[in-house]
Amino acid sequence: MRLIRNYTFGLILSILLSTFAIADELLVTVTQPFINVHTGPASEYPIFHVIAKGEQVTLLKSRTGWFKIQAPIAGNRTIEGWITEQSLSATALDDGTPLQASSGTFDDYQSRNWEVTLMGGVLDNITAMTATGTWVWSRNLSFDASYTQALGDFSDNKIWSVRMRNTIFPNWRFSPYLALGTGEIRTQPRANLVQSGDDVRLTPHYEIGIGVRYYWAKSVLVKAEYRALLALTDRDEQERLDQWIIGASVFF
Amino acid sequence: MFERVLSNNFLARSFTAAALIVALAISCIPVAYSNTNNAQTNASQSSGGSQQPSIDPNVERRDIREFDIDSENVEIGAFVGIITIEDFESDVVAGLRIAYHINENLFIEGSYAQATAGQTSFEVLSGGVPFLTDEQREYTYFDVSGGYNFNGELFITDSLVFNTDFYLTLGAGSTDFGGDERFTVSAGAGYRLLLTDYLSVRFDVRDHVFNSDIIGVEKSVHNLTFTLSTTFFF
Repeated sequence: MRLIRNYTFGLILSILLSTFAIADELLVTVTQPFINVHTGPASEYPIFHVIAKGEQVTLLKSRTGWFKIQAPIAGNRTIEGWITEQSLSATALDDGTPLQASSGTFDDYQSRNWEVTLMGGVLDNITAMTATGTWVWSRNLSFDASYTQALGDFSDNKIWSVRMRNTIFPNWRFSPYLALGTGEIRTQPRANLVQSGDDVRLTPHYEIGIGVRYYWAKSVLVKAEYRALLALTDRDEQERLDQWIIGASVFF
Repeated sequence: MFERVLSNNFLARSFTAAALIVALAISCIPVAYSNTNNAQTNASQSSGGSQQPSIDPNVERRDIREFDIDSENVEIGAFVGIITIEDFESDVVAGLRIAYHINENLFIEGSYAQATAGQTSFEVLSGGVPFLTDEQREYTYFDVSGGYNFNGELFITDSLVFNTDFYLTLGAGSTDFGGDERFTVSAGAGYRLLLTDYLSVRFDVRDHVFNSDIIGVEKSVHNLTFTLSTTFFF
């Protein structure tokens, strides 16, 4: 167990470190009449400098659609500030190639690889929260690993599932989708009800899901979904659970 | 208690799994910046070729270059502070948080924290009759919140200026206390002072509300946290 934990930690660390390794600085030339430089990475921050056509700037890093630049000014000094994505498209590399950032547009959505989704709603009248990680396989098909927690007055329910999802119209901003999956429901009675003699119960289940996703804005999708869970209990009757959830996804 | 151990392990495991998913997702950001240049349209030469068309259909695609540049949209950090647990005194709380900034205003944040609850006034007055076991006194919670930044600047002197955010958060999660896990809603506000582009200090106040019957009657309890964090953007 400890070995696994150490391994997991090492894996996370190496992934984090690898993201540092791609840092890159680029020297670009302004090709439009001028670009504005803000003091911070948001439109509210004031413009304190203007860079004219033909001048060069160094791109240092980006944050949420803003780019940090360094530019020389009079007296052998330099300034640092932030420019917008639109300003970036008004620059070019030395060989005249215009620059464009990948910025979570609907076109970027089409070529995404991963989604992370957080949703909230009800599972048979109990408040439920669902977190889902998605690997996108093709334009239509993707695979979800989903975890739901529904903490009720009488029991804690935790559900994990893996499922395949088919986005029916991937080219539309608004598209329905269907999902089919399987997993396990873990039910634990509340501590104050332990006297009932019940213990943790693990029940396998199948589920179907039907929902809609909407490309809202920059890297964000909004989703609403209904899931029907069929619990394969030991008893004579199988149990059906209904889950209604709504939430948002971020894609990479 | 067996159940207790089980649920603790489960929480720990689920948190590790969630962290792994987030880390994996982050590692894939650079993949999105794949190079799409050199996609010259090699449209077929006009078949036959006996007659030169007046308009050349072989329009060269403009060569646009995407690039890898360090994007700092993820904020990760640790916090420490005070939690006032209703009926159970105030105690030290410590935890971790990770946030993803969607745009200049919106962010999503996950927090996980631990504290050890003190004694109820009943325990103190009755002369040390334990109300909860040591294990049940362990207070852990996680929440996933959405946040909204109001960007600003802090002027210390004319030339010493820091970028800041005042932010509001709203979230949901769960609290494990007194042998039970409870669905928890949290709401709060905070102030982020960016010492540099990638290093910030945050002061955060959050209320965690859940239904509890630990002291015998079911009621909704409000547990406030006042925390100070250091976070890094990368």
